[in-house]
Amino acid sequence: MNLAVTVRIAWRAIVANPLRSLLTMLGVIIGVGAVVAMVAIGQGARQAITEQVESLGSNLLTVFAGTQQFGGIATTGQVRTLTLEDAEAIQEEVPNVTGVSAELQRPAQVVFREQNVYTQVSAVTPQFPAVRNFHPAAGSFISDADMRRRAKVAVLGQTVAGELFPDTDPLGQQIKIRGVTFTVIGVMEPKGATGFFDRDDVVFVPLTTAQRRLFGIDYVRTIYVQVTSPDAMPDAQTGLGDLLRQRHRLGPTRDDDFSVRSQADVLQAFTGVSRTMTLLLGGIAAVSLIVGGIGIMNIMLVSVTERTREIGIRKAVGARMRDILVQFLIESVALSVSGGIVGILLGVVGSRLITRLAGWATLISPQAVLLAFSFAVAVGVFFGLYPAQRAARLDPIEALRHE
Amino acid sequence: MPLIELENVEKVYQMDGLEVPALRGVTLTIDPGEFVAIMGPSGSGKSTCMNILGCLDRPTAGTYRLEGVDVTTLHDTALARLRNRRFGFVFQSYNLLPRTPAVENVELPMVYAGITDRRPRALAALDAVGLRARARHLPTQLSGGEQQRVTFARAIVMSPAIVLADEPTGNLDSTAAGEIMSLMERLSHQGMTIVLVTHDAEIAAHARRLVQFRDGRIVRDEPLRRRPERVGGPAG
Repeated sequence: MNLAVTVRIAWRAIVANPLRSLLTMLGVIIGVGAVVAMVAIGQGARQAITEQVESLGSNLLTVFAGTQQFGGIATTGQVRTLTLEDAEAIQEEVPNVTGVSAELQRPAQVVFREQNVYTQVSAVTPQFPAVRNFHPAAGSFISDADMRRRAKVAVLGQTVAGELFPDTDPLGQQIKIRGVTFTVIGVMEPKGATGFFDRDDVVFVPLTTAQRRLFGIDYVRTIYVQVTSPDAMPDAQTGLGDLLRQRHRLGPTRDDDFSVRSQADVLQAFTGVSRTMTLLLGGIAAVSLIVGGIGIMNIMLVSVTERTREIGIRKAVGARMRDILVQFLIESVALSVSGGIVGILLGVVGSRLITRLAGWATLISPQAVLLAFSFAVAVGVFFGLYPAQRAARLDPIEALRHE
Repeated sequence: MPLIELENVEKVYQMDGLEVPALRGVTLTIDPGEFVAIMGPSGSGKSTCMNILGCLDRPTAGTYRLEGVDVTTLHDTALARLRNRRFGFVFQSYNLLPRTPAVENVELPMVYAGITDRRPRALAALDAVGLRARARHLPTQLSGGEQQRVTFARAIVMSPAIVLADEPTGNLDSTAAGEIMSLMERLSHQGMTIVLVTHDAEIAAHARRLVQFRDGRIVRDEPLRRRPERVGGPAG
């Protein structure tokens, strides 16, 4: 018995009951549509995060004080092992390093006349703009001379500038940080938000000034190291690790008292999160696909009962068990495949709509579409098998007598 | 060689744990070209005998040889093939596929035989029963007699060894019944072996041999003289 005839028989059975067939397919339609749309949202989010992380600066290694613990999460808080001298040594001794930025962040109150904001004071070195790809839009940034003199100068992020100086030019104005007077020498370009973190809500001061005059400490929290190319990253990472171990006088049995992460690691952490989210959403959608499959099984069982006599006739004229099995299997697969195709269209239209209405980035991935479609076919086969077997095993005499 | 040989065939049905005997040792031989009528009251075992003859059912005991081959030991797939190639079935309630044109109903056995040029053969079979003009009609658009003639076309389209007709005129008025009987006589003239189950003695009289069933046994088996002058049975 050839396939074209079987498919035609199945198609005829489906269109004989259009409303019932549509309702049966609805489960698969919703399931496939949900998988496609959910994965599109997850992938869109992942792409957006990737782009943002990449905008932070390329070929960047990040050195944190403290050892890596808890699956890659560095414990930084109280660790005081990294110093400005470490940063300078890295700059001079590790090959392929083009720039080093040592940083220290503390929250603090910043006051200009009657205005005051609670913001992040970021103590940095003159290399910061080059290494972090974050430049002043007006005025100038902290200079080497400022570092040497521990000058009381500050560069404002856009958010802070907007809040302290709503209608005056901040350049040359005097502000107070923790009661110490600083002169504003520059305003940074807007950088936007990364996740929940506003990168413009910050005040930059020279690292030496902050250590001595603001916080009374001699360590830094983070050292950013810019490397010439992505290929040079592994060597640079090993080189600076060896250098820091040597400088910190760590014996071979001691663990690192610092940790080094690359942009790739950060990206991996972000994409890991978004992959989990995609899987979760896709998993929920897959459950609805299974529910759709149960709907197909239900209606196929009804169909087998209704068409018992037809099965008897077919058996009497020579249909083998296999012929009947294949016929009903193709019918359930035809239901799930039609549902799958409609579902894919629905998912694509749905994610377009989500992008337009909610403004979320969505990305239709061909793999997700293919996966959802094959899952729909599998659902048709799996849930169609039992009813088809029941049909194939019917006794021809009983079936012919059936009213 | 006889076409059909039943030897001491018994059939016992299990019903709610009770054993109900339907056939109690039936021995029957049918030669090629015979036109046999089977009669008997309800529950006498004639339908059970027909199901076994048509390989729709298996005997509980005894042997059944079709064209010299013991079919009681054959696998389901082999029985399906026999039903497809060697038998043509005609039922009291026609048993045509609903929502399916007459010509496609006639094509059905050829679908399972894997024959590809089905349409001309199906149309030829419909021609033989005088229904070529109705080929595209659905069963619901045909009269009872016409539906039964489509069933005959389906039964003969594979050129089977034997046509098994179970009460083919049971649902028909006398005119339509007459048409069906003349069709059967014509098939018989052309050499087709026919086994016909009926309640009606007048219908049975068209056959050449009468087998009477009672309580699962054959109680009478005799040749019938041909009476071509019978009312309602015009010679074909």
